Amino acid sequence: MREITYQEAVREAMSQIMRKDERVFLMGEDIGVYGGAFGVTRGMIEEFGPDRIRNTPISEAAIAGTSVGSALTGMRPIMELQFSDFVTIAMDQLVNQAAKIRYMYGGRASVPMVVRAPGGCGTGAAAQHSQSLEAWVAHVPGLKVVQPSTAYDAKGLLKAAVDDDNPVIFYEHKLLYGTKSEVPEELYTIPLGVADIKKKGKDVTVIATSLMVHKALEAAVVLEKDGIDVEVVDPRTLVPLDKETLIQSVKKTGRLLVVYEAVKRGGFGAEIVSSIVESEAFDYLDAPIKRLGGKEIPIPQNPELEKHAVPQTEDIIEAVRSLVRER
Amino acid sequence: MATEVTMPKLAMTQESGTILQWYKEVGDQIERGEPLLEVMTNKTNVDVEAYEDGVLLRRLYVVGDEVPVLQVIAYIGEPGEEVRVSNKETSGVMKQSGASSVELRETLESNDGVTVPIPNSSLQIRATPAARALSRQYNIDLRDVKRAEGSQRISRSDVQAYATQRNSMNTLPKVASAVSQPDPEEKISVQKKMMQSVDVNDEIILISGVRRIIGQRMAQSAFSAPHVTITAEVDMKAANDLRQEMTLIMSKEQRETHLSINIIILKATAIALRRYPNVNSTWKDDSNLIFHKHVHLAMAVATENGLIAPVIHDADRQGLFELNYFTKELAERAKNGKLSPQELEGGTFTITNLGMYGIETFSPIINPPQSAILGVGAVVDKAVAVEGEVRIRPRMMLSLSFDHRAMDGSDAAEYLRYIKTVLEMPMMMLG
Amino acid sequence: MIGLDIEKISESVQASLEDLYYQMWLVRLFDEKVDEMFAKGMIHGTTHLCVGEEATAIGGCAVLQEKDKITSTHRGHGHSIGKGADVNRMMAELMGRETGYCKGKGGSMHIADLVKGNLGANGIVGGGIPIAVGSALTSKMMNTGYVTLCFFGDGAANEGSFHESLNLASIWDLPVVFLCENNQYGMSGSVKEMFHIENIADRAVAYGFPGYVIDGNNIIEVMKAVYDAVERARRGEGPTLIEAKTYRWKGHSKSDGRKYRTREEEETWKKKDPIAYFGRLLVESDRSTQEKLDQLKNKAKLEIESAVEFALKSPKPSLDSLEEDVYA
Repeated sequence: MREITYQEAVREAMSQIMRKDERVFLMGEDIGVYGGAFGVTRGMIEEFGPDRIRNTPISEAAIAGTSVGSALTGMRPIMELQFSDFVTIAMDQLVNQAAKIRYMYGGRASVPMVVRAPGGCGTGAAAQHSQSLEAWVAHVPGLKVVQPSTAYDAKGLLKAAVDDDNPVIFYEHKLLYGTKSEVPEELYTIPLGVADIKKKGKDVTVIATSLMVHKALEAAVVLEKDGIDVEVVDPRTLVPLDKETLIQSVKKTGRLLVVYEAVKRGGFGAEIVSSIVESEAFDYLDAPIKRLGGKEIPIPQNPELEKHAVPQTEDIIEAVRSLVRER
Repeated sequence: MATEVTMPKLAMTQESGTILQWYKEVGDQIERGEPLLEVMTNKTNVDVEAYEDGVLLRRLYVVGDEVPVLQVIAYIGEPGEEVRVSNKETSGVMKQSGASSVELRETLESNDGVTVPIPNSSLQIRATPAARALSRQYNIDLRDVKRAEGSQRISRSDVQAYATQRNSMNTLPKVASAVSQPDPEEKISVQKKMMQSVDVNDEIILISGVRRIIGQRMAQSAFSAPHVTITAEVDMKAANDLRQEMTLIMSKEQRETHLSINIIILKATAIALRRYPNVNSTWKDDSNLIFHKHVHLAMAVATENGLIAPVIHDADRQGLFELNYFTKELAERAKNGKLSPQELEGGTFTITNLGMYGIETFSPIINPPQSAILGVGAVVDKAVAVEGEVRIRPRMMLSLSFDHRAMDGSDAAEYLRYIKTVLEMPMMMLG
Repeated sequence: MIGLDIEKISESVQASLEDLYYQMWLVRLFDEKVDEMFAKGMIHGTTHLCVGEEATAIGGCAVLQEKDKITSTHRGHGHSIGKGADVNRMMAELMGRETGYCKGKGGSMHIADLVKGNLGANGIVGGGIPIAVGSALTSKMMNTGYVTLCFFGDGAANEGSFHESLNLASIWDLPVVFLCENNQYGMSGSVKEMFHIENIADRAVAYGFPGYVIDGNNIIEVMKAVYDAVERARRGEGPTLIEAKTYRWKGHSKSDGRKYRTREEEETWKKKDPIAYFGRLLVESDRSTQEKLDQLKNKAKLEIESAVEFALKSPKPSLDSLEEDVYA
């Protein structure tokens, strides 16, 4: 099968969906001829025109609110937050409006919208352009939260997100845009709420999200040489969370490491750990659960400092070894 | 809506049941009528069947837990359905198995932050959840398990290693409810000695099911009821003569069942109990002593699965032929495991017989919560002085163990003497 | 502004003028009843009453067509009634009943009726403004021809969403009408304290579309202004900002002791009662009689009574519904 990049996969999904469904359109800052801050929408305005590729002023609250209003009245908007950090400026519309409207209105309305949000660090963009705030939105009932880690997942999950009748926050990772994987040419759906075992193993379960999936896979290769067989599980969607797959994996291996890029304290990894501990997998745990997350600091600009702010492959290797060794 | 599975009440006087094994895991599909778990009531085991189709959502108790009847023990419902368990529903556990139920603790803590009192100090030991789960399964006390070099806690593999080692030791696990735990130092040295004395080729069988329950009950009785055993030798000539005379007058149908001397002993025991209600009694919770009006004689029967004691209700009121037939039939069904729970209930006194093995005296352990048990020995021809002459007479030893809390030696002695008198003058049975 | 007299207005409005008079009473009596029921503990939570502001709500909605939409505010009972809501279901919602517009989950601040084009009241000040813009965007992109009337208060005009939304609506020429009900107070903050400009409508110039100041207690003036703005929007010429000066007779919400203003000020505004004014106009122009108007008021009263009865008789939502409708 042909390989395309994560960025191309996101674009291809949007284009293919838009060709079929006139209700779907894009809104965001610099998504027109500029092609978006990360080039994801490059070329789309040429195909779909400025009416459906809506270049907006720098008004995140209005972009989000306009998405809510248009979704409420029959459209299926995809809005792009230029950086996921800017969710802070759109928060009222996402948290108080989009997430709550259906429930507040007694189920008599729906808000089918997608918020595409490039997140994560690694580009030297420093503290206001490098965060992973997915736990914020995952906390809010009414929102769904997706974090694809591969081009294949990105395309299929984006299709599912657009098809979903709820507001979906779709986290893309800046460092993943250039990564390639096999992606079918036709449109396909990966249902929300289905985790993916990226590598099977029997000794230790590593649950990782977004970019950390790749770091976990790299670590698994090294650990294989030590005779440690790592299973790498990617939840893919945080809300809804496929607890069952995670639980079954931990039941099998008895050891768990959770890796995420967001600040460790209060991060979504804590939710994953709690889900495991509360489940029947508890009785299968044969070592204390370990968690790797970002340091409790804003992301610094200097590349060395930045690298040390979030988990790296070596950290995963060390953590897995200690899980097996120390018990 | 999830439906509740409750500890069944299988007999009128049944107050609780002990979970012997779960046939279904949480998440398993269950059909109506399928066995869900095995429960022990008094001394029989009964399969509890599901009365709903669905998925086993939750189990509230683990193997070994003794649960009051009608208490919710599990939930069946739709896959993925959530079950809320109120504190009340799980508070009724009467006696927990060696390790307390994880699910139970989880439930209580998650509901209102209440921490359940932890009866077993093995919970103080650092061990992984997987190690604990395995130790429960094997009935291993984690205090006995050594953790691996350099490790901070006992892991599953440590428990596995211990279990393997134990298998090669042929030692039985300690009874969890023993009254006093020997101090740990002493225990360790005892254990070391045992390990040295065990041959690697010895076989060991995991203690479970009825065997385990018997063990616990026997230990409970032995360690809580102060036992005294008294013996008396009985001249069985008159009883033998009676048996032969009775055989002559038996009808054709009646003769199909061999009239055993045991029946005469049984009958004598029963009518003696009617006369001595303090022996026909139950010591209850250190607060009440119950003198039973009815004589329900439990009869110890050895079966493949272990000892059980079916009950002959109102044994004192039955004629010898009736008693003979009924007793044989009951023993037969006991051996085939076909007794109903009711037939194991309500015994007020137990009679046990090792005479067929040539045993003359022994000290039987009381069947709790009863107060006494009669051990019947072999009838042996002996030279005895009869009216100043040495004669060969059939003689039999009776061993009566009694709970000294419930009666004194003189009470027991009078009772035993009365049986002896009746057997030596069987005509008294007519009175 | 474009002058339309009462004659022309009555031609542009589907409902009769007497019917609008009746609707204004329905709003007032609804809120007065709610006030009373709150005091008696029959309604739980909070509520914001629009007594004194009936002309903007009824007048604004009166000139809309069936397909047009509105976004409303926390003080939204009038808007709902104006857009054709059933007072039975409104009252049931306030009383937390299953028959309410939101099945008892929204209460006073979240009444919505998408079928009638009411995109919902909103508990967040300024929260509805970008939603109105989104609704207008749908109209434009799908070419459906409907206009969205966006109600908001003076307080919302100081929210970021107001500025972002007005600008966005303007650059895209969206069919939306921003109707600011300036009732002089954002909770306790008076407009004199919170604005350094005389008229909020003056802000329209910053976004490149017309802004008008009108007497919000004069329903005819409200209808004229909104009608013109709606028609302009429908022609694709973009948004309009209308500031209707009015007054909130009651406190911000139930717990408000109104210490930030004088009783004299309240009395002055009560003399400008929008319903009384409209009634006089109808009688003086021979479009109705006092007797007929009294009958209409009475009819409104009966309707509110029966709404209370309906609500009281309605079932409470079952606990099973607690986790329903979080997701579609």
